[in-house]
Amino acid sequence: MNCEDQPERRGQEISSKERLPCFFLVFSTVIVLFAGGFFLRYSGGLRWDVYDASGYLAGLPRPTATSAVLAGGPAQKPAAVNPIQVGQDVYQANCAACHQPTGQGMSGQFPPVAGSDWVNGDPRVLAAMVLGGLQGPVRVAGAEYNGMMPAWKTVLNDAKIAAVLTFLRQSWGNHGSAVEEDQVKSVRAETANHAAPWKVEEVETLGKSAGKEAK
Amino acid sequence: MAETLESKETPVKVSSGEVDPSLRAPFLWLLGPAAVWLSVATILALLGSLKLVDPRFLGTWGWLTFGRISPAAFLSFVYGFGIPVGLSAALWAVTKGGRLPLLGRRWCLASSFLWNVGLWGGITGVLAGESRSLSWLGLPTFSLPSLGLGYLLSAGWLVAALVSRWEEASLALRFLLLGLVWIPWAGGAAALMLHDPAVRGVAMGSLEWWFNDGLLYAGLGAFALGIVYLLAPSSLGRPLAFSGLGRLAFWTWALFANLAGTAHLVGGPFPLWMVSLGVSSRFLLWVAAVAVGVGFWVAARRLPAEKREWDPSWHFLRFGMSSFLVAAGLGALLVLPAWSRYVHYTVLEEAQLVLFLYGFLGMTFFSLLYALLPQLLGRPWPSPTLSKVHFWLSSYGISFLVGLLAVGGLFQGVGLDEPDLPVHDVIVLLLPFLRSAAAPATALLAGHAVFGLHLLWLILESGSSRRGDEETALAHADIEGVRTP
Amino acid sequence: MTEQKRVLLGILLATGVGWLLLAWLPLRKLGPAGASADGAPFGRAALGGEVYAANGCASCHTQVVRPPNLGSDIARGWGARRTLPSDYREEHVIPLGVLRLGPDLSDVGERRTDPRWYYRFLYDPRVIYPGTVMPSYRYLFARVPLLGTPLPDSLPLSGRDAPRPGFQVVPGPEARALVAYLLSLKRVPPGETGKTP
Repeated sequence: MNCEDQPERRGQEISSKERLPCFFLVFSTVIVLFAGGFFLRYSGGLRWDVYDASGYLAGLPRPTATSAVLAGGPAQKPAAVNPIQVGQDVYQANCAACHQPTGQGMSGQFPPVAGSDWVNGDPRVLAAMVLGGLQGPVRVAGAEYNGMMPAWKTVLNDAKIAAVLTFLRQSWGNHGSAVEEDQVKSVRAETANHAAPWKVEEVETLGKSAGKEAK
Repeated sequence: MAETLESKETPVKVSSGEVDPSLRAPFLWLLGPAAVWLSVATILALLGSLKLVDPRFLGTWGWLTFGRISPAAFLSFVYGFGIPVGLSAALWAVTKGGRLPLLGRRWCLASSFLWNVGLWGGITGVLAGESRSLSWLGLPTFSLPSLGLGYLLSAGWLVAALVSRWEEASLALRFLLLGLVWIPWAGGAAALMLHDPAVRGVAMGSLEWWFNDGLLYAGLGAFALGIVYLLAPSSLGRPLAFSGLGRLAFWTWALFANLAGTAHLVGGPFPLWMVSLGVSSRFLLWVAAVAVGVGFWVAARRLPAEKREWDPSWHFLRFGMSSFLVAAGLGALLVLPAWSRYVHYTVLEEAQLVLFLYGFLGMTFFSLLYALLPQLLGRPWPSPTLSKVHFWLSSYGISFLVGLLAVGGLFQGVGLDEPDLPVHDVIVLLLPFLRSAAAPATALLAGHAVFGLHLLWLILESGSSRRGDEETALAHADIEGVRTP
Repeated sequence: MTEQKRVLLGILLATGVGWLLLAWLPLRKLGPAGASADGAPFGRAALGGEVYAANGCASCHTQVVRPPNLGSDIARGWGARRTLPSDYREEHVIPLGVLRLGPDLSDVGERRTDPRWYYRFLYDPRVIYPGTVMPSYRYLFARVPLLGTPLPDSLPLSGRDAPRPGFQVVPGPEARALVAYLLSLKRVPPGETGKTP
C-alpha cells in the first residue's frame, strides 16, 4: 500500500504555482491514515479462515436490545399484543395459501376451517394436528378430504401456534375457547416422539386418552 | 491540446470546417445510438419505478417483471450510453478535437454496428429471462462475442493513436487510457472465468463485485474524469490546478478502483481481510476524488465572467463534479462496518449508485455532448432554453431521487435492524419513499426527452444546411426517429 | 521506457492485482474442492437457481446471513449462523444480492417446507401479504382444462385469482424448478448450529 508516502509526496507539490488548501492536507492525511490503520487493524492476519472481527469499527452487537428481548420481552409482550391479531398474521402468512383467507378451504382439496368441528372441538387434538401435520382421509363439515397437511412444529413456536389456534377458534363464526401457550407446549412435549404426520384415528385416540386423564 | 480546446470557448462562432469530415461518421455512429439507448434506459427505469408504485402495473407479463427491467435499465444506460460516449471522448481527445485523422476510423462503423447488435440482443435477452443475475456482467452469453469484438474494433485504434500521440502530463489522456484499457481487460477476464464450469463458489461473488466497482470507477468513472480534464481548459479557461496531485490521484484511482468491490460484501462469506481491503480502498478513492475536486474548484474560482452566465457544458460539468464528490464520500462512509448494519442492503446504497451513475457519469457525459456536438455539426445549439430545461429537470430529478432513496433507506435500515418488526412492515414503511421516487424519475425522463428533441433539432438544422454530409445526417435522423414518439 | 508505456503497463498491472486478489486467490482458496464438476448441483434445484437468477429475484432478496454484530439477521431467524464460503462451495449461482425489499432467503427451505405455499405465494403474493410490492409470477404457471378431479398440485385459487370454470392452474416447469431450488436452500447443514470458525 502506498498510503504512507502520500503526505510527503504531496508536500512537494505545494511549491509549484498553487498552494494546496490546508483543509485538503488535513483531510487527506487523516483519511489516508485512517484507511491504512483500518486495514491493519482488521486484516485478520490475512488469513482465509478469519471472518469476524469485533470492535467499534467492526460493528458492535446490540447488547441492550438483545437482553431486553431476552429478559423483559416475554413479560411485556402478551400485554402489548392482541393474540387474535398475531394469530391472523400467522394464519395469513402460513395457512391462507391452502385454507384461503376466508377460511373456507377449496372444495375437494383443502378442508374449511370455518365451521369445522375439528377446529371448534378439543384444542389438544387441534394443536397436535397443527404441530405434527395430518395425512389421509378426513371428514370435515360433511365432506370427505384426502390430502396432506405439513407439520408446523419446526416452523412456528408455541406462542405463535397458540395465537393462530385462538384466531381460528374465534373467527368466521367459530366460538371455541382461547388456546394458551402452555397447552401447546404440553401437547408438543407429549407428542415429541411422533415423527410422521398424524392419521385421523391416531389423533382421535390422543384426544380421548387425554380427556380420560383429565377426568 | 490546450489551444485546440480553448477555441471552443465561443462555440457560436465555430466554423463548420473545424472537424475533419471523415470523422463525422464515426462520431455520429457512436453518439446516435447512444442517444437511443439513453431513452431506452430511462424508460425502463421509469417502468421499474412505476412497478414499485403498484406491482400490478402492466400486469404480470414476464418480460416486464421488476427483476428483469431493473437490471435491463442499468445495463442499457451503462453499455448503451456510457461506453459509447466514453469512446467518443477518447476519439475527441486523440484527434485533437476532430482535427487530426484517425487511422482505423472506417472500422468504427463496423464496431458501432457489432456493439449495438450485441447490445440489442443482450438487453432483449435480459428481458426474455436469459440473464445470470451478475449485475454489470448480467448480459447473456450470446451477446458477449459481438460486444467484445465491437469494443475492440474501435478501442484498439483509439489506444494505438492515444499512445502514439501521447502528451506528457496530460491527465485527460491518462484517465481515458485507463477507461479504454480496463474495460476489455477486466471484462474479458471476468467473462471467460464466469463461463468456465470449474469456477464455482463465492469466488464468483468477489469476481462480480471486482468487475462492478471496477466498471463504475476504473471504466466509466475514468472516462468521465478524462472528460473533466478534457473540458476544463475550455470551460474554465485554464487547466485544473495541481497536476502533480492529479497524477497521484490517477494512480490511486487506477489501483484502488480494482480493490474497492469487496466493500459491498461486509458481513458476506468472505475473509475479513478481503472486506477490510475493500473498505480501506473506498476511503483512498475518496481521497483521490477530493484531490481531483480540489484542482477543479481552485481552477473554477477564477472563472471568466461570461461563463457565469448560461453555458450548458459548464453547468453540467459542475453538477457532475459535485455529485462525484458526494458519491465518493458516501461510497466510503456507507461501507464502514460500524453502521453498515443499518445501511447495508437498503435503498440508501441504491441512492449512492444513482448519484454516481446519473449524477456524475450521466451529467459529465452530457457536458461533453453539449461541447462536442455543435463543433461536430458546425452549428450552435438552436435553443438555450431547451438546454436549460434539460439541466433543471435532470438536476432536480437526480437530487430528489437521491434524497428520497437516502431518507427511505435510513428508515428501512433501522427497521430491518429491529428483529421483532416483520420485514413486511419495514417495507410498508419504506413504500411511500419508493412511490414518491416515481416523480423525480419522470422528471429525469422528461429531461432526457428534451435533450433528444433538442439534438434532433440540431441535427435537422445542420442537415438542411449542409449538402456534403447529408447522408450521414439522414442516417442519424432515422435512428433518432425510432425514439421520438 | 516512455511515459505512455509506463502508464499502460501500470494500468494493466493494477487491474491484474485486483483480479489476482479478488478473483483468482478466492477461487483457489474458497472455491470448489476440485476442478471437475462432480460436486456441482444438478437436477431441478440447479435449474431453479437459473430461474432465480433470470427473473432477478436477487434484485430484492439477499442470500447472506450476516453475523450478529453486523445486523439482526440471526435474531430474525434467517439462519443459525453467518454465511460461510463453504455454504456456496459447489454452486454456480451466487445470488448474494444487493437490496432487501424482502426477507433473506439463504435458509428459506428450512423455514417454509411446503411447496404448495410457495406456489400459492408466487402466483399471487398479495393474497398472503396484502400490500406487498413483490410482483406476481403468474407467467411461470399454466392454465389447463379441468378434467374430472383437479390435479394433485393444482393451485387452491379463489376470489379474483380463480380461473374460469372448467380450468385449473398448475405450476409450470420453471415454477417447479424455482420452488425446488428454494426448498433446497438450507445452507446450515443439519446438526450444525455452531459458531463461526
